[in-house]
Amino acid sequence: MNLEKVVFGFFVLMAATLNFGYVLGDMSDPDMHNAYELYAAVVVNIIATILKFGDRTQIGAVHLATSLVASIQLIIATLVWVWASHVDPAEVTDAHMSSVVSIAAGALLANIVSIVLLVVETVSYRRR
Amino acid sequence: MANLLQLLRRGDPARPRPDSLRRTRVEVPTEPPTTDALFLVLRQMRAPLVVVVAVFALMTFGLSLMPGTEENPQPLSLFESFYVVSYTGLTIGFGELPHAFSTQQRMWVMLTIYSSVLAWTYSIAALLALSQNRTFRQALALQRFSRKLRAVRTPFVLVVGYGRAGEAVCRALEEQGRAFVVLDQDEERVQQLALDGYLTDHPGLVGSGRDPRMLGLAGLGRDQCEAVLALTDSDETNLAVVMAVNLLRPELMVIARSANREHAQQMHDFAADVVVNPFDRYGAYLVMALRRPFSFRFASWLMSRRSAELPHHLEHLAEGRWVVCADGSFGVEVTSDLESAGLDVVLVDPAHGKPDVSGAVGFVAGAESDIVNLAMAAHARIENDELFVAVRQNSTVNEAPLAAFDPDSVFIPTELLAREAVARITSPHYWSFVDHVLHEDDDWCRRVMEEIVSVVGAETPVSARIDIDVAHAPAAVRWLRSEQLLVGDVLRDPDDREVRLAAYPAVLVRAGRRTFTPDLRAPLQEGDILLLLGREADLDLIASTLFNDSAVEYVATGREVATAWIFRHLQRWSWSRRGRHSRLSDAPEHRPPFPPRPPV
Repeated sequence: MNLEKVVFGFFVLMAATLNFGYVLGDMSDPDMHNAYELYAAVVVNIIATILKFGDRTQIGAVHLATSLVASIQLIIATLVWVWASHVDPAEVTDAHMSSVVSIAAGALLANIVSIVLLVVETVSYRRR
Repeated sequence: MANLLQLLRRGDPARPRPDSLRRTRVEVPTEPPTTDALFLVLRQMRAPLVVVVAVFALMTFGLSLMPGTEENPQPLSLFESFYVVSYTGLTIGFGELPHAFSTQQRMWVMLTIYSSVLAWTYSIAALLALSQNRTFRQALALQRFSRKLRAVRTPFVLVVGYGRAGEAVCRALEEQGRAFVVLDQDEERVQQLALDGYLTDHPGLVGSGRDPRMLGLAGLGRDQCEAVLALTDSDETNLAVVMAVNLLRPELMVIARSANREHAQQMHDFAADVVVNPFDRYGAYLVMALRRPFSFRFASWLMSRRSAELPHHLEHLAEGRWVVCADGSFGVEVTSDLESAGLDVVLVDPAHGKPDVSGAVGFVAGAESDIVNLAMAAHARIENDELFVAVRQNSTVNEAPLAAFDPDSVFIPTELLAREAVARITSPHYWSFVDHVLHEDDDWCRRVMEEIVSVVGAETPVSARIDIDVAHAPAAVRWLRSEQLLVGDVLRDPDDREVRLAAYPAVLVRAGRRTFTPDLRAPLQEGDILLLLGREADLDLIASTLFNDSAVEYVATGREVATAWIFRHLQRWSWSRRGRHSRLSDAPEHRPPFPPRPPV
């Protein structure tokens, strides 16, 4: 068993599952989207990105790219949420919430690609 | 007559190197054995970065759970917590924002301060350790080297091995204005390259010549690479370089150093252009000095910057006993050379104390240590004042005392090697002439040397290459299309054709075949290359003559043709009345731009 692969796979999957959990539910309803879940998704995505540093294979480079996309999308979603809850006097409206969730949903797409890559890599991996 | 015979016997066409042992074409590998630097940084910094991120995430999360004070019972939101943790963790410290903290919050912030500082210091220490890491620094050096190499746009010589010989070669190459790249496996030697005070910055790479990938990195695969010199002190490494060049870039010239015949033979199998064994070469020179003094004087006169005059009383030395006191292959090589020349030689090991030189005529001190050599030479001189003393000098450190001792002959292996290698690369035609001198018999050398000295004087001459083509001699080419120009005509003074300039035609290259000491009455053809020995000012004058139509006509025929258009017309009119005519055309031809001068 390769511990590096275990940790790596754990974080990639975790990033996607948290992201998925946050996006799930009615888009415009703030009660259905926990801020802590978004927060956790951002943290885990950033860690997953760091773990992909320094892989020189072709698939590693694509991994890093998708991971960066997901992280950037989630950070943007977070910034929109911060704006809505702290800056805008109207507090978190439906419009705000739906834009946050849609951006996070974009990140989910990137995370799904990440998982597909992970699976492809695992399937094509042979012990030499 | 002798010239014709030479043409048949040794009219070596100056063709590119013979076909190599290569069967299929393979790209020169340049895959770096080490990884690139950024990749290493990223790889090494993964764990520290994850720790930093994890600590910040945990602390932010915790702070957002801590209950507030009675005035503001709401805990901080995630955003506010992250703000507080950011400035706290980076030890900036804005105080308690957005309002005063409760005790629980303060406890948590305290925990944050200690853990985040620990995380930071860990990651910074990891980064510093990485910058000290040898692999990382090698990777950085490799990237710097590759950048420098990409900047080299001119043809360059790849020098493998930067020892004493390598250094001497590099100095000579720099004098000739050639670019070079150095590959050496010793890091200190490559650093020395930067400290040795060359005029320009020459790229140097740490790596073994045995590794073809390293050779590829050092520029073997590049089009600008024109020659490879294998000058390491290990024969096997030199052989590896010769093999790699022969199989990967067979069209390149390769010159290798070798200290034993077995390896030299293997290098020749791989079509090394030249294998220089300085020990063997010295023995040959010594024998030449004894048996063919004029050839030796001529050759050393051509090769030296300062005219090294040899004592003339060498002939009788061939009749007595020689003592060679040397260790290693040097002693064996010199002894076998002297013996094959029919001399009576005794080989002594320096470890056996002072050699007995009573009754000997010549003594060679060839130990590995300069001190030992000088001591032995001094002792030999004390015992026998008439003795011919040759001393091997291994390093430049003891140059001054050795010069004061003034032995009859000094052998400096690296200098011999460097001089020959550089001459072969930078002026192949000149070297071919020297080589020819080395192999010719004594009478010929004596005659030719007297001829050259009578023409150009007793100082070592400068050499110049004259190409009879549209670019370098347009006027001469135009003249040759209808008329005849002799080798001797080129050497006439364009102000007074009866005066012979201080220049001597050493080699005439026609269609790749070399003729040594061509006859002055030989007609030139378009495409010929003429190698002249002489005084610099006169050689420049000859080069300029070949650009001037009137000057060419004057040296060829003696007719003074006006250069200005109006005067030429007047002249033509006056000549036509007398029934004479010039053969110059009126239409000025389009001249190609003047290319840089090729090597001599």
